[in-house]
Amino acid sequence: MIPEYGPGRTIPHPILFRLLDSEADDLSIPEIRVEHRSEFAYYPGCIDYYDQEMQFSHMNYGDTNHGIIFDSSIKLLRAVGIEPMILDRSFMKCCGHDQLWQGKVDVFRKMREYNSKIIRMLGVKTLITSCAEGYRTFRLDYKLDGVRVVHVTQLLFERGLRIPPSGDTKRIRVAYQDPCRCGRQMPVDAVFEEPRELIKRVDNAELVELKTFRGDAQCCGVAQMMYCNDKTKGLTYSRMDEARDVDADFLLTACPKCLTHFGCLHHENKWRPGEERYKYKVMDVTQFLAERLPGEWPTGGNIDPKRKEPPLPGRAGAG
Amino acid sequence: MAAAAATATPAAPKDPVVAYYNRVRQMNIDLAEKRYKTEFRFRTQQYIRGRGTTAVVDEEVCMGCTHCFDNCAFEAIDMADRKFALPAMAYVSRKAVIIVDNCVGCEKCAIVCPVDAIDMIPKSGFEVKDGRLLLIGAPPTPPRPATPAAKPATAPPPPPSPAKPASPPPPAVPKSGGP
Repeated sequence: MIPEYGPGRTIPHPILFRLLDSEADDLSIPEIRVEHRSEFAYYPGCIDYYDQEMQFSHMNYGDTNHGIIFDSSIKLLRAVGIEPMILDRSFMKCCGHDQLWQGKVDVFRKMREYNSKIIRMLGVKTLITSCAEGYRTFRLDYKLDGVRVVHVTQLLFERGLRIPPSGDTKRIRVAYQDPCRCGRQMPVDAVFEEPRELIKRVDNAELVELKTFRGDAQCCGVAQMMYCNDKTKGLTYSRMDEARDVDADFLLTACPKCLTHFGCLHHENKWRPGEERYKYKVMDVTQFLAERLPGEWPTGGNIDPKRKEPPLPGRAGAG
Repeated sequence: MAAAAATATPAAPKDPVVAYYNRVRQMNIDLAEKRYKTEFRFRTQQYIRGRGTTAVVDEEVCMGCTHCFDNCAFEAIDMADRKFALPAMAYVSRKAVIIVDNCVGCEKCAIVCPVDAIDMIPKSGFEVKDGRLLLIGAPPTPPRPATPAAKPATAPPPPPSPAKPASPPPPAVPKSGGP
């Protein structure tokens, strides 16, 4: 059978998409082992693949950590009394957002059919996702009757997450980037208020708005990891310059893809230490909140010990 | 992050739910790594190692990750800063540049490129000047071999016509020159 590929076929495909497509074509039936059953299910998405992709592309040396979104979400959910089961990648497939928006509709349909079957089989009542794109896809493009799809910040806000005062007198300025798929492109239940309210609950954090925000927020530059060229990089530059102009200490986002692109540029910025352009930290909103929450991290970290120090640029740092 | 790394070391948490989360987490990291490695190996088999090829970089696609630069064994790749102008700002972006004289066509750069920006093309039929590849595409047919081929095609046709020997005009010339 010849797949009906759309315009995505003409786009250079990173290994990530070959991997996700081959996953969709894989018809073998996996062994599903869920040791902790709950009506709440947490779907981490492709964050581990992003870590691999970034390390493969020499863009991540430990400071852009996608895997920590998993740990932070679990920590925050446990703090509000939810112990979800994990819909992990050993038996789930990618939600298919990228494939759908690149025009590979047949691949998306395969993923949707498979994932819907598993979600229905496990009896999920509330599907929690920490990814903006996954939130939109499960909410609008899947037909999940009887399953409530929420972004993790919505559930934390609804359950009343309390962050105890740290007693730190140093004020930090925090900027929040609205992901497109959570706000501008989400016709129902856009996630605007919840992350902002949660950030305001950190006692020494001061929420500052970027030049464009909420419904008018500018994109981070790349959607669905489709392309990386100078135009998209220019968009990322201008978005990160907005955060620099408001003198932010943290730039938070709720989408792992935004984190990828900001982190990539942030890292490229470090190659010339003399003319450093961005001094702030870029991280996911769940990581920011979980770091302010006392207590142990329930899951392991995802930091490669060999990658703690950035290697020297060029040939000297190879290997 | 440091806290997460510190708590990752104790292997046996008491809470079974925490143990479950830890196990799933670790399994997912290993799974992503394993799947990436298989996909990478699969991709290397798509290229057949050949001679007489050279790499070309598509600068629209290249994102300056230096992966090819790090992996080239023949110093055939250089990273150059190119200036680009947008309406609001001008900025500098790193691009890979192939030094064609050093390139042996081993395709390692094309294999490691994460965005498929590098293609392999045959070296013959392309013009290289000052270490840069000038002509991309099929070489145009040179006009010189075409014209000599046309001339002999038109010249041989005159066959000896049977009417020529019977024509009388030549005898008039010796007549006038004779006296």
